[in-house]
Amino acid sequence: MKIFSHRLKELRKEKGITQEDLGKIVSVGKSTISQYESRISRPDHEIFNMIADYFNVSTDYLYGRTDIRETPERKILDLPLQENTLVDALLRITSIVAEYGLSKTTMFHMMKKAVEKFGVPMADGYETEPAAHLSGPNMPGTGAFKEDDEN
Amino acid sequence: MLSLEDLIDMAINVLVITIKYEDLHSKRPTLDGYADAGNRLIVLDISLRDNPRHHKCVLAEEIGHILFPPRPGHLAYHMQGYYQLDSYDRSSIKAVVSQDERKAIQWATIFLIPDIELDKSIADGKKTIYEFAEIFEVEKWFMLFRLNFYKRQNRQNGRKTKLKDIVIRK
Repeated sequence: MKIFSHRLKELRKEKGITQEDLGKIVSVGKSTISQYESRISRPDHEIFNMIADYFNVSTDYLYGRTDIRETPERKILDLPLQENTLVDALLRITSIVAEYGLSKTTMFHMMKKAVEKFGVPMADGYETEPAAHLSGPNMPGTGAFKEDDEN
Repeated sequence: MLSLEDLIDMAINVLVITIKYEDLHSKRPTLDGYADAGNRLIVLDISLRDNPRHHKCVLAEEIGHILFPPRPGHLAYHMQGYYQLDSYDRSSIKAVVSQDERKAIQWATIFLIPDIELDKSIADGKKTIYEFAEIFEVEKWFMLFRLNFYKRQNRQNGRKTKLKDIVIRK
């Protein structure tokens, strides 16, 4: 409780926001934030998570169970994209999400970052045409995968 | 694993693609959807809404087309006059369409079924193609594409994989 109050105040001051501002962000009053910081009351689970998300720190850090501020997800989010194209970056992102069991929010955040960096590819030097998806055999490119390939 | 809702969410909010549902089957019974990369638009048949698994596979493939803008030739390939063209034109159009389709489906299958998840599933033991499809919530044809690409990827890495070692034949 003592550590939580101290860290909350510290994070808020670092961010340069008032108790009122933080109260608005986590949907509580200014006095409630003041009570958290003076060890009079403690937030419920939902507000606690909202505070951790807002300051981009792990809940363990807020509780005082660790001195490492960053969440594992945050560390991954801050890694630079090493791929050269959006298509490769998107494949890598779904692979990382599957490997580390990351949340949907993190995945979308990473994808948005990739789109910002590369942009959605445009037809380069030719006029693109609509491509149809037909069910059934009238679809080229599928000839190599006959039922026999199951064997 | 990405659900259909996640995929729709990603298409609309991340890639800013417009998705429309129209009665395409009344125009052509086998037409499930099309992607217009120039306008970042995907049109799907309304019947797909009643078949979430098919919906997911077709949508992923259409997103693949948006990411690999199709080259000229797709319209000619699907027009009635295609078979009136001479064989040289037909084969060059077909080659372009095949390559574009393969790029889109390859991306879509790897996107929905990442290597790491497929490796885990294969390591769990041999299964039928339907069991694989069930695990990844995709259709049989989509799963077959994925396993064939997996086979190719392995071969490029110097590892020969046979489908009969992965899939139980029924």
